[in-house]
Amino acid sequence: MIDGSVPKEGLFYPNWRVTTLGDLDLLIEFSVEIGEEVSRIVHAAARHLACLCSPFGVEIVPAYTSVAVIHRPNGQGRSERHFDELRAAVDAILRNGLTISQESRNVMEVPVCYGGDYGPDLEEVARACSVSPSELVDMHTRKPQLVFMLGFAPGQPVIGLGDTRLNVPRRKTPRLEVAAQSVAVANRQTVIYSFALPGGWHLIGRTPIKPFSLAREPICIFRPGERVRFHAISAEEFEAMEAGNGR
Amino acid sequence: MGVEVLQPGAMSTLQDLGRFGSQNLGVFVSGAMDQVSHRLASMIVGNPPQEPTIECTLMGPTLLFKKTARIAICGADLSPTIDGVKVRMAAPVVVQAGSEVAFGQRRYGARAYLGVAGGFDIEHVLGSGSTSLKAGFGGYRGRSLRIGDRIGIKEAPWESGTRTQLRRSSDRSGFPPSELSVLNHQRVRVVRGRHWESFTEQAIARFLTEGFRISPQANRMGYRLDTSPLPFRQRIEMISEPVRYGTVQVPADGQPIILMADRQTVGGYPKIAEVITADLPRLAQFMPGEIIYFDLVEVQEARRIYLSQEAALTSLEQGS
Repeated sequence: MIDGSVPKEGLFYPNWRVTTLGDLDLLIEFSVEIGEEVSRIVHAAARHLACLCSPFGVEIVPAYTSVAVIHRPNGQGRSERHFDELRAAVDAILRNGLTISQESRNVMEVPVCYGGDYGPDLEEVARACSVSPSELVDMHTRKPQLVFMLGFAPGQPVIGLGDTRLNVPRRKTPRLEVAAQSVAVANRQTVIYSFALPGGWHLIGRTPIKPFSLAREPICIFRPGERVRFHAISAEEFEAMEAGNGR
Repeated sequence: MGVEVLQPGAMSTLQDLGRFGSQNLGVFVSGAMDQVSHRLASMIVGNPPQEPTIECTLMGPTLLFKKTARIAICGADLSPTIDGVKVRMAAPVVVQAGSEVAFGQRRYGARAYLGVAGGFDIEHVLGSGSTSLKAGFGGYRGRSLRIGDRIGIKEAPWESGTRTQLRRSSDRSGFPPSELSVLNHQRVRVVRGRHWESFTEQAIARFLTEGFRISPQANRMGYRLDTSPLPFRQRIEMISEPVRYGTVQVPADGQPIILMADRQTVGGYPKIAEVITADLPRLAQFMPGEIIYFDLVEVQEARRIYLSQEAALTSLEQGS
């Protein structure tokens, strides 16, 4: 469906499909495949749909290939007409075309200590990809990648798409607890775990960057639609940066 | 000055209507699982609906009140008492300084909501006082209550005529009205999920006729249903997409999970059905181990039911 026709900037008219999500909410799908172009469309759509939040009492939740329009509770003043009007407004906004914003030149550098205790799955993943561990690190650090969304946990970035060879499926048995700030891969994507929660992706390293911190402005340091580039640091450098984090 | 926790109960957390406006950052919504009972408790003590209450689960806490306060308890009947004397549910009650609110045997339902006039003095995070248990923030220190916790009570604003009227209306018998009934239901209504067509006719027939036992591990993140696997028409590769409170997902093992208040913001499993918004409060009153039945309704009907529930709540909140 998306075939390289998305402009670098300017107005774009996507194909989309709206379905109900439950009884009140809406889901707008733009594609059936994860990719950079659909992600840019998703985030442009989310920006355009944001004007509905106040008048309709909704919030906009983007994901890989879809955007949801989800109602806040306590809907005083909602009427039968509300739902038809909301649907009509969504259709009108999408029909008018989306402004694909010029890609930010900013690339956020993400230092990662790869392998060893911080990346216990690095060797296994390298074997599965038929490369050496250092080649795997090269593959992971070579090009900037896109933040597709923040999901699964507060502030947790889902980043991609990586090298085609990095196409390992998720672990059969997720770990019951993964250290926060772990850098993990699956399906050509990378997540940086923001909390110590269960995790099913392969741990290849750890970063001193905290994706989510209530004590910091901004609270979430990764932003969907921006690019990140990973680079390798030593365990000593990692531990020095962690100490600087006030641990 | 406020309350001191003498006994924590099974799982007592501060909750309001939920943390909205940050799901695009991956922040869980959380909030009261039974928003009807939460809102009734708030309105009876004259608070706005977004003021947090204490959500008491299965076994309620014992709270020593350090100052005189007006409270209301709505939702599950967990045998509330003040200094050992039984307390009327869904009514404004004064607790004198030095008295203890406690709970006893669970009689009906799973979750009770305790509101206090003026509200609890807790920090708001990202616009909400709700506790996000997995992320460890919000509510009271991001966790459930423990022995020794002290929670302040804010000054109750000077009573207005409207609030006096609200309190009187709650004294009428037949309160709360039937649209706001949350207890002793075995059935909840659903609309079709986005992937309804991916399930076999047999799976759909089973889903709409069988009773499903809610597993003992059911919690604020989700209710797993213990059953033999629901068959898929074809296995579909799902891309994670946004979910809601009440989404019924079916992972690879075929056992449905109903996503609840502390769910993640996105999910990657096929959605067979969605519990209607108006029935989420009654869903929250099911106990682990109980059997739940699903009835299918169309979206238009579900919206009508939701609007009539909202109208009932709004008219009470506005004191009409």
